[in-house]
Amino acid sequence: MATNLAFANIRSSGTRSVVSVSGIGVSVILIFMQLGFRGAVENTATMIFEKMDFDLLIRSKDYLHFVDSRQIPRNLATKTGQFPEVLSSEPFMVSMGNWRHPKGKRIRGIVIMGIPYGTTPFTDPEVKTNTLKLTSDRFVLIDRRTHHEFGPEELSKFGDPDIGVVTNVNNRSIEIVGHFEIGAGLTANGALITSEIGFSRLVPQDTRQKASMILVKLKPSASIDQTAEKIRELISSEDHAEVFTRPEVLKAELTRWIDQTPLGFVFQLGVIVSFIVGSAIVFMVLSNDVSNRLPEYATLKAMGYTNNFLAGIVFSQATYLACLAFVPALLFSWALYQITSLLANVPIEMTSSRVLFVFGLSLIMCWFSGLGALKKLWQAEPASLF
Amino acid sequence: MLADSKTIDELLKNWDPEPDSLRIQVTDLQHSYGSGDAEKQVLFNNHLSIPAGEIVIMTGPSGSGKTTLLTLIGTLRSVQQGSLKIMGQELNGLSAAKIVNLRQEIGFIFQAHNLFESLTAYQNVRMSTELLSKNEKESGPEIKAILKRLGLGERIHYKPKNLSGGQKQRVAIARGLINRPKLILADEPTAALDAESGREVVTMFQELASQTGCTILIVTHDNRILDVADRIVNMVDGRISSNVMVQRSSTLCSIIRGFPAFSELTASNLTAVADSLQLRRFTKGESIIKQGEVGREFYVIAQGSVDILIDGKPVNRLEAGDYFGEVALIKDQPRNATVTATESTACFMLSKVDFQSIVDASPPFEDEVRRAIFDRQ
Repeated sequence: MATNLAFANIRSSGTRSVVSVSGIGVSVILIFMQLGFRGAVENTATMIFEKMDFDLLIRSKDYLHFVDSRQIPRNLATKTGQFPEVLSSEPFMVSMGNWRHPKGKRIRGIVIMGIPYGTTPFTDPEVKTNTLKLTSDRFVLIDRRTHHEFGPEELSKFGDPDIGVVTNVNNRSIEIVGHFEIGAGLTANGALITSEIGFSRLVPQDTRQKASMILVKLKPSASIDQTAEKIRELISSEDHAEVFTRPEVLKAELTRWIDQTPLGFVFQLGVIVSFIVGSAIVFMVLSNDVSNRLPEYATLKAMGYTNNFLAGIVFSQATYLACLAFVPALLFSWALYQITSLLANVPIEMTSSRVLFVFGLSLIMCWFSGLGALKKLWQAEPASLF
Repeated sequence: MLADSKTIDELLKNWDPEPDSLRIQVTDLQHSYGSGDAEKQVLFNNHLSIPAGEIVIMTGPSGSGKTTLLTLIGTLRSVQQGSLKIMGQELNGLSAAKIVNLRQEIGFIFQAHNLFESLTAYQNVRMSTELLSKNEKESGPEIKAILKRLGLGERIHYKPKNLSGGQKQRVAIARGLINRPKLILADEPTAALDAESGREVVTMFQELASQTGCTILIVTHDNRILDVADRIVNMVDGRISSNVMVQRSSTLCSIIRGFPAFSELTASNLTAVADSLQLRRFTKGESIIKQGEVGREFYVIAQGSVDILIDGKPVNRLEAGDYFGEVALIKDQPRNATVTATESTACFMLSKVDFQSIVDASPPFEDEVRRAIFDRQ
């Protein structure tokens, strides 16, 4: 094995190398966190729709997001339900409400979902079973993923002990009769399901006339696109409604959260800034190192080593720095993901594609800086050695 | 008392090196720094030819241009004007890639050591052997041996920061020598060394020069090592002011001291004679001087023999150590005889001017020559 001058240089630089590896590590961690948050936003943005059971979704042209979806005529559900391809077509009501802590006065924003009795908008069979408990307009089901600040009996999580608890939503008295697990996503830290009558009691919306969305399920033999076209023809311009397939809904939701809010931009900017900071650190470290060793590089040139060999040393050093910084940064980021998931109640996953992407990014970051340090390297002048 | 014929043989053999064996050939080399108004010429019309196997010591005050000449020879600076050949390769206008290749045949020893701080002594030397992509199995024992020989056996795996100045110097020397380069350029290689290790280093230089024909060019002010020089080149103000082949000069002195013509000369006159002697070779039957011509040279036979003929008739035969041609010079007359080589013959020749200046400087020499003329008549 050839003498590894690059690694020897890094080792002998001691403290300086530790500082630079830490600097790079911090920027790698920052990149991981930004991407993690972005990923979490992507996941949670679509989470609720992914758990809903529909093939086609009818909603207002003015739809903004899940809890601000505006209203469409409820009779579209009835009309759509008459198509032979359609298995079911049910209205779905959703709005934000103010939840009062059962034992205090604190008010929290909560997602209120209203459904016709006996139907279920979610694929989860547990929801279906529990919605049968909604026999009174005072009764609600509470999402177990609702934040503990909403005041569960068990302090950490809603569950069986909360059944029978009575509190106020939008200043109306409600009673918890059961629970389910969905996760409301980014808009609120809690969710509840009530009957459509219960919904109209809590929210000033005439559920007999208006729905927030209509969930259409098709028979297995039906063509999604053709049915969507038929429904489109059915909708009059006064209805002010649109039809979407499932993938379209998911994509629109992602676009809204990532591209149409500052969120995506913020995370992107975060990644870019971290990348620049990391590059600057590596550049300074490498440039400094090359300057300090300029006579050594000049000696290599005098001995008959090629410029490529010299550049190779600088790039190897950059690569070593990137690798040395990446491994601990990865472990640290993974730990931070776990902690954030736990504290913020948003799942952040360390996917292998993200690991590869960030590793590639840190290599590019270091090589990019190595390229800058080369300018210094070409100053190595063997004639000045004597 | 004549020097033994073997010494003479060797001297004559190496008198004029073949152009092919020249490791350094500097012809009309000029060099300037800066440009425009700030241009300052530092080398002027330099000529220097150094054959393989020679140890050259270059001296001169600082600013005399010796470092510039050294870096030019070492391919570390590009040739501007004139011709500079090393190992037969013209450097003026040579491509960068070829220069890189050529550098691998040169061993550099820098006064500032320029070791790789993050590598051990052993690895520092290995950076040299790896250049020729030798594997460690092959080079490892060699590296250890050379470091041991230079007194670094205990410190093979020390890094430069844990070595003294002299030890660093020796690592640098090991790095310069390990590949047995064809040319070694050293800047004050013994300055940081004590007498003993300095001697060991120059002994290694001598071994390398005699065993591998390596040419070694040393810039130094260290008087202790002057004795190893085959040649001492002195530079003043950008010019080679003297270029003395000390080794040859002293051999030549000891040889010609044995010649009757020069036996009475003082040491300094003897050196002056040795420095101005030129060698002439003649084939069998070739006429060296012809009767009736104007005499311009004085000859001492180094090897072989000649016949003296007056009007075509042989009158005498001269052997090695004898001299001829002095009559015409002293009396300012035409040649009174023809001299012909009877075999392959080599003669040392002094021009009339040099001959005259020695005669002027040394009465005993004049007496000797006059006595000889008188004896012959």
